[in-house]
Amino acid sequence: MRGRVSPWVLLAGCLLLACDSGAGVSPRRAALDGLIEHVFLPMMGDFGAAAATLSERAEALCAAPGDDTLEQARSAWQRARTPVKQLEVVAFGPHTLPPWRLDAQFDFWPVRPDSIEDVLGGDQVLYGGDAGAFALGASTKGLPAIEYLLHGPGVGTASFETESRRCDYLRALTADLELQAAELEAVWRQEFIPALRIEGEGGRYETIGESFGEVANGLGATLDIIRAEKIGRPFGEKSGGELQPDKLESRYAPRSTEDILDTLAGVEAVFTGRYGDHRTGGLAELLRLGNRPKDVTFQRHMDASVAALRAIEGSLEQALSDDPEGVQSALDALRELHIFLQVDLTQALAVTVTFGGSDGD
Amino acid sequence: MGTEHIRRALAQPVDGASAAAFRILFGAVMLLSSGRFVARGWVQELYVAPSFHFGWPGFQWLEPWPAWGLYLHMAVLAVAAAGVMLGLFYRVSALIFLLAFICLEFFDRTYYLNHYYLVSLIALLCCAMPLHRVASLDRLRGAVAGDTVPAWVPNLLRAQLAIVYFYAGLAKLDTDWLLRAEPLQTWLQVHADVPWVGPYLAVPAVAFAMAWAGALFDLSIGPLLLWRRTRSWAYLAVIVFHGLTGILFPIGVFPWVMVALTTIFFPPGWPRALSHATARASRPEGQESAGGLPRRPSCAPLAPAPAALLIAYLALQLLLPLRHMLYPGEVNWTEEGFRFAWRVMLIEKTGHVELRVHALDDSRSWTVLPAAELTPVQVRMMATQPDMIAQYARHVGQRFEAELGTPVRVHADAWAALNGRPPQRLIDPYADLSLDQGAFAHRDYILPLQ
Repeated sequence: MRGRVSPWVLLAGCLLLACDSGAGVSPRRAALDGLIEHVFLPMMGDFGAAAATLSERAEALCAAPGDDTLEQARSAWQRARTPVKQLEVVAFGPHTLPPWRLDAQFDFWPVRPDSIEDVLGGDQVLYGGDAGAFALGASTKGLPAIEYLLHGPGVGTASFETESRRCDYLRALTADLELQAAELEAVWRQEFIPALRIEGEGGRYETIGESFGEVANGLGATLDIIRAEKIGRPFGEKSGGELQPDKLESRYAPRSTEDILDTLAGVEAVFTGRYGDHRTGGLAELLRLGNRPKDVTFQRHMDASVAALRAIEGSLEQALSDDPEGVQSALDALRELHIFLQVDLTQALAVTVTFGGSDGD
Repeated sequence: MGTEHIRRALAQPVDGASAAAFRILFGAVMLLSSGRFVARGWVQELYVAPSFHFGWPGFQWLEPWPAWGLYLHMAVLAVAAAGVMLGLFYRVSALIFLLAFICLEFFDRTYYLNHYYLVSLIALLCCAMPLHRVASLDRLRGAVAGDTVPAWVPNLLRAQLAIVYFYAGLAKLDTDWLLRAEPLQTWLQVHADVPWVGPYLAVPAVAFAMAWAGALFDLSIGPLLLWRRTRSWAYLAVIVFHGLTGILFPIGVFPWVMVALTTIFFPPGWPRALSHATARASRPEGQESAGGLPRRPSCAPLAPAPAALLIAYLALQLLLPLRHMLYPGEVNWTEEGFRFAWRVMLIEKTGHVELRVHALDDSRSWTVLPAAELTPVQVRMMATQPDMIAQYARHVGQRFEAELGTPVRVHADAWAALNGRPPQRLIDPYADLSLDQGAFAHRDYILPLQ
């Protein structure tokens, strides 16, 4: 035995070496950091800015009701929809998770007209201090409720001239929306981003692979919502063909198709890493680094989906009955994009939903 | 004469120390695993949260208990594992552990794992084996006597583990694994942040080297562990191999299970030898096979009935992994005969499935996205496994028939990608999946891999 290396000595040596090793910045961590810095946070910043503008325009409308101030308030509402819809691509985090569940606070849809009419016709305190709008249920606040106040049936300049309650309600809701936008960004910055980056102990994710997987799988989940809820349900896919226009989001504005296009823009931003003037690698660069580029395929499916949605004539509500072929074409194109995101992309990135959980193999 | 000789050899008493170590290590890992399962919130996530469970054929009546019952179940499992580890009321503990563990697995096949299957088999063998004769509380309280176990005990355990490795290696003799280094290439490129070795893992040559080394390891480790001259190095390889796979892949306690269980390949007296290293160093070489105890005189041969059971068990273990050959198509794609066959770490498969329900008495139809009812894990696992897709389709069909009061057809729009290939249809979109094709029949609705 003399002069031979014992396997146990070798094992001890390997363990010592392994303990003395460091870790570099992985491509996944870099991609995740880039998306947080250049896509997610700017989206939230845009949401906050748009909410502030909407609040100002609502104030101006109520101070001097007129066609121009109403139009400006409506435009501000439209612009606030864009970042909110784009943010659906990160709807896995504080949007939906307890204890936050913030999306219900600013984007509970489809709107429930009866609930809002109850508030309009009621006498509860709407806004003031710790009570008021902040205590109202999710179905009577947020952008969908504001949409109903600005775009609801029969709403015009006169509504704001004669209904002081409508103005009080609108002011309360837009002020609350500002707070919700600030809350969303604060929760992300203080709690969720550290969790995604695996900073500190006992977070939601254990590895960058898990948190990155959440972000990447978010794309497919977003398409799930678009297809099943934003189009499929109103189109009767869950009701044996019976149309359900009341299940549309933004049906009064009407902005249902634009909402979907904005949501798709959020998906595109995560894939390409491009949001406004911001540039990062996104998932596309990660795939290129791994010698598995998917840019062309992604863009083909995305362009086809956008084109099919834009080809829908009139509002989505009208198209449900007047242009079912157009709606079906959009659903078909979105289905192709969905399959790409859920099968091809997750395979290439190796981010299949593991046992959220449990172990594999 | 020949069989009696073999049966006599199988009945030959050997030191029960290594069997006791096996029992203690197995019980300890299972106790740890039970606690880990609860601590990670998997009881809630995997069993309480889902409203639908993928029961096994013939056992679909077996539904998970309510939450409190599941936590009680886990407590019973942990206590039974502790009983096995300590050798306290060992037979009862082993039986309770086996039943509780299998029951948990039978609640939902979404969570089938090869190492859970191995645990079930080991637990079954524990029930039949006197692993508590040494170093047990049963021994202390006088419920069991003797220091030896029959030779068939360690040998059957060794055979079981060797079968696992051998079939795991055999399954890797495949073009995806050897010629494309898939799915290893896909998996390794995401581990660039692993300390020390990370930067090298994205290099294709590393994936190929690991693929070939992995196949070679699985195919050779059984014989190398059996051969005395290579055993120590082989066990070191077991530690390194499972340690590395444990770091790189989310395989939970599996590395610990294998590192613990493969100690059975050492001589039956190794624990005594370890504790009396000096004495062992002075012992003549020839005594090693009998372990730390002197050889016992020849004994009665193993009775024909237990011997037949033993052979039947081994035959089943040898044949079951080969049953995929009875089905047409690529097993990694069709997954017919995939389970209970030690086909580990072979596939990176992603899928997407949605169902279309058509009422037979009119033109009404519905689209069902499984994510509306199933958990993300269930959706992910179902989307790549045709039998689970069909099972869910039948469930959806029955639900619609009950609601509508009319028969329905259920079709699947199912796509999957295997080991880096582009997505392709997995299920014939014209096949009515509401019709049960039987648990073991070939599923002709599975489209072939292109």
